[in-house]
This record gives sequence, C-alpha cells and structure tokens, in this order.
Amino acid sequence: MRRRRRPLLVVLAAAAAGLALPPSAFAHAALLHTSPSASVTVPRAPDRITLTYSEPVEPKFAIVSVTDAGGHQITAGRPTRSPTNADELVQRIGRVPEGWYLVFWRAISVDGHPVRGAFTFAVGPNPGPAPQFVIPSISETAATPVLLVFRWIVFLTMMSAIGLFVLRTITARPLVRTLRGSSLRAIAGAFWVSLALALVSIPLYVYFATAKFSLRSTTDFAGVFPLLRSSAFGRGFLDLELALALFALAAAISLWLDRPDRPVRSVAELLASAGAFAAAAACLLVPGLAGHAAQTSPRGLTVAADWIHLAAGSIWVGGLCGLLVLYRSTAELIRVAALSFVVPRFSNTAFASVNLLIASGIAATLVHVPTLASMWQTSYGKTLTVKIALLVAAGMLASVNLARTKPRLQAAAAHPGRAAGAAVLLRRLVGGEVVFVFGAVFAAALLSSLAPPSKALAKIGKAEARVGPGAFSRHVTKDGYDLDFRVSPNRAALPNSFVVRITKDGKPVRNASVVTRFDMLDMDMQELSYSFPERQPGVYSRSAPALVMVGHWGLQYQITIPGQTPIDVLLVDRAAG
Amino acid sequence: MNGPAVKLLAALIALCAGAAAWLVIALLARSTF
Repeated sequence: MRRRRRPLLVVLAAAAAGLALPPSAFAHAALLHTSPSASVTVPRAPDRITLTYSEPVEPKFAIVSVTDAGGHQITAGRPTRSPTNADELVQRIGRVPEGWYLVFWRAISVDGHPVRGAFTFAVGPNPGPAPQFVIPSISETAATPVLLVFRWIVFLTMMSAIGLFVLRTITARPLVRTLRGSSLRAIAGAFWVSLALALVSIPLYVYFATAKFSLRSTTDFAGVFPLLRSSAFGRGFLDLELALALFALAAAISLWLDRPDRPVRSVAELLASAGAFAAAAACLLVPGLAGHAAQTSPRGLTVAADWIHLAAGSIWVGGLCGLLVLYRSTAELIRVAALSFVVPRFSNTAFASVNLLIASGIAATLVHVPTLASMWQTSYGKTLTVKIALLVAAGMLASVNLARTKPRLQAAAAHPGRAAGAAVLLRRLVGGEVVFVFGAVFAAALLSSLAPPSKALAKIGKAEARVGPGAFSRHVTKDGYDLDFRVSPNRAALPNSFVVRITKDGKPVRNASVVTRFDMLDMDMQELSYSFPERQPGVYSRSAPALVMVGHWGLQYQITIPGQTPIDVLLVDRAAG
Repeated sequence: MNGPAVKLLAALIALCAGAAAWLVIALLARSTF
C-alpha cells in the first residue's frame, strides 16, 4: 500500500513545488507609465522621456523615437536604463518649442518577442490643435521565415539526438548480443550527425535572431556579437549550447565505455550513462525556461509540462529516425530479425511517450489557451490545431504499426514470409510518421514564436457586441437603461475619444460613475483603467490613448448609478493602425 | 589506456559533465524566475 502511494506523493510534491514558484506577471513587456503622460500638455519642455515597463527591458534592443509635427527627430543619443529602476528606459531629448510630439517605442520582451507602441504629448501652454501624426507600423513578429526554419532545425536536431541516444543506449542495446552480425554503429552515427547539426544551428539561430531583434544587418558582426547575451532569449539558447556540448562530452564517454555485447553494465558504464542522461534532461529544460512556459503562471507546472512534452517528443522522434536508420543499415538477411527484436521494445517506449506527450500537451493547452474559440480565432490557436492534427495523423500510423506490424514481426519465427512483408510496411509507415512528426515540430517552432492568446479572451463570450475597426456608435439596453457607446477614431496609439451616454425613459442619468477597463485580447498585457467624468448631463467621456496597439481590445464599462446595482457592459473592439 | 582506472576516471568526467549541465540550467532558471 505504501509503495502504491509513493508515486502519488511524488506527483503532489512536484505540483506543490511548481505552484510555490513566484508567478509571472505578464507574458510580454507592457508599457505601464510614461513621463510626460500620454496625450497631456506639459507646461515646460521636458529634457527626457521616461518609459516604465512591466519587466526589465534591455536598452541595447530598445528604440525610442520622438518626432515633432513635421516629422523631425528630436532625440539626443540612445535610450538608457534608469539607474534607479531596471524596468525604466530614459530617452534624452533636445530643447523643443511649444507643439505636439509623437513618441514611438520598440522593446524586446524576456521571451524574445518584439513589442511596439506609440503615444503623443504636447508642450504648452499653447500647443495648438493635435496634428495627424504618421505612426510607424506598430505590429512586429518574431516568426520570420528564416528564424522559423532555424528554430525548427534547432528543435528537431536536439530532439532527434536525444531520442537516438535513448534508442542506442537503452531500447536497441541488447540487439547486439541477441542477433549475431547486428550493429548499432549506424544509430550512433545518426546520433552524432543530429547532435553536430544542433551544435552548429543553435549559435547561428541566436545570431540571426539577435540581428533581427536589434534591427541590425546580419553582416554587421561587430554590432551583433556583443549583443548575443544581452537578451534573456540569447542567454537561454547560448546556455543550451553549453549544456548540449556537455551532453556531447558525456555521451561520447558513455558510448566509448559501453559494451552492448555484455548483458550487465559495469559501474563506469552506469556512471557515464547517468551523466549523459542528466545532461540531456537539463538541455530539454531550456526551451521552457527561455519561452512562454516560464512567463505563464503557474510557472513551475508549465515549465515541468514543457519539459515532459519535449522529453516524450524526443524519445518518439529520435526512435522513429533510429528505426529507419536500422532498416537501411542492417543487412537484408538479418533485417527482419533485427526489426523483430527492436520494434516491439520501441513500441512499448513510444506508447508511453505518446501518452505523456498528449497529457503534457493538454496541460499546456489548458494553461495557454483561455477559450475553445481561441483555437480557431487566434494565430496561436490555429497553429496549435494544425500541430494536434499532425500528431493525430502520426498517431494513427503508429497505431497501425502497433496493431498490425508489431504482432507480425513478433511472430517472425513462425511466419517468416508475413514478417518480411511487415518489415516493408513498417518502413513505409514509420517514414510517414516521421514526415508528420517533423511537421508537428515545425508547428511547435511556430507556436513558440507566437504570442499566446490573452487570458482576457475568456471574457469574450460575455461580450454585448463586437465593434470596429473604425469609429463606431453602439446602443445597448441593460437593466432598463439606454446606453450609447461611441469611440472615434478608434485607431491604435492615438488619443481616442470615448463617450458613454446614459438615459432612462429619455431623460439623462446624472452623477453616475463610469470606469472603463481596457484589456488587450491578442496577447497578455497590463490592463489599463480610466474613469470617465460627466461632461454634459448624462454624457460621460474621456480622450485617452488607451488602445496602445493594433488588435482586439476588451472594453469593459462599469457604470454605477447612485443607489443602483452596477451595470457591466463588455464590447470587443478591433482597433486599426 | 583502457584500464579500469582510466574508464572510471572517464565515467566520473561524464558524470561531472551531467552535473555541470544542470548547474548551467540552474543559473539560467535563477535569472529567469
């Protein structure tokens, strides 16, 4: 009884440890505060612009542009980090006359995703009317084709190498002493090729990504090299390179010491294998630590789920590659016998791995995807749907192998003819599985380059209406009150006019409290909240740059009429650039 | 070159490599959390 309870206790302890880790605030850097404040008129010209974010922002990757109404740049030097607050960027500006100014900023989040935004301010006392500024594009993505291909190669080669090592040192190892003339050298060779490709592709990926994030040319070596470890993303993947190099050292020693013809391993063999597996396990933690998992609460559990997902995927994909290598490298005379031994053993491992892959994938989906609809309404959800479809297709081929090919290979001694046909079928099915799983790894590379949907999306189901793009006026009747909502011009990064008109039986409702919360729905971002003062009887309004970026926004109006229950109205707005 | 002592030494180096990989990741995790 005590033995049965032990695994449960271990799982509970791991869950408790995971939940005990400090929760993350936001998935991406969000601008919390600016000085001067957005859309205000300051009496004297400031000598600097300060931008306070929700997390530390590396100034080497940041851009802060300040331009006047004529589009002239007025910044002096590059942005620097505030000596007193790591989350604050300071941009010095020259002496400026009265008038309106546009601040455009770009920063890199901890997970490597670029974020952009813009706001205006005026220098008074008489700045004049606000001009129509031309705002640079405020949408930017980390998922460019070149970076995506590099990310795919990094994931694929690392996972294949680890899976091939597991196949060589555990699953297929007894083959040598069971079947005379068989060899595991080709599997070891495939392992070294995969590992070498991973070790080459990781620094190249970090280099190209750093050049892209710092908006530098890829030939600007002197400019890009000093920045490689300046971002959390760069540090994470360069640490992966180091851990993978340590894995290569431990694996080389482990394979050198290994004598697969002996049934019992020596102490030295066991120690070397333990070192290699420990290093491999450490490597698989990095994508979670440098990606979305470490930025999503509860972080301990999301990082653990990501690690299990990658480990299970590695055993599956590496094992499949290893089976193809074994098929091609084994002499025809003993091929069926070799597969008859290795395939049933691998099937058991792969079955367990696929189950762990599904369980950890479901856990990650529940954390990252707030609503079922976001599976087809957001880029992240669509990519995840494609990944699941590819894995289901691979799983169907695997189930045919499990149900048809494996039993025939196991019965090779009794029915040699059927087993030979089964070996050919196995090669074809495993080839198909490899194509689907490689596609799923590509989808995973894209998935980890996209911002997960915002938790605020969960509120969309309760929305009274969908509005925008462009200026809108929407009438809602709730609790006997007529509510008219207007937003114009409903464009991102500009001061928008937000108006709420409240009437009951045709008469204006006075002295109400109107507070509006703005939630970015396309990615996690700091929620903004504004109170709307009553400008005319029953008309509550405010001009604010609340829609700080292009995309879907949840506008949550809370209207409190004296002596009444508060009225909540949610509009889902699409702000254009 | 293939004596038991050399093999044991090599195995200990492999074990240290595994421990060092975890140290690298622990330092990364500390800077992340």
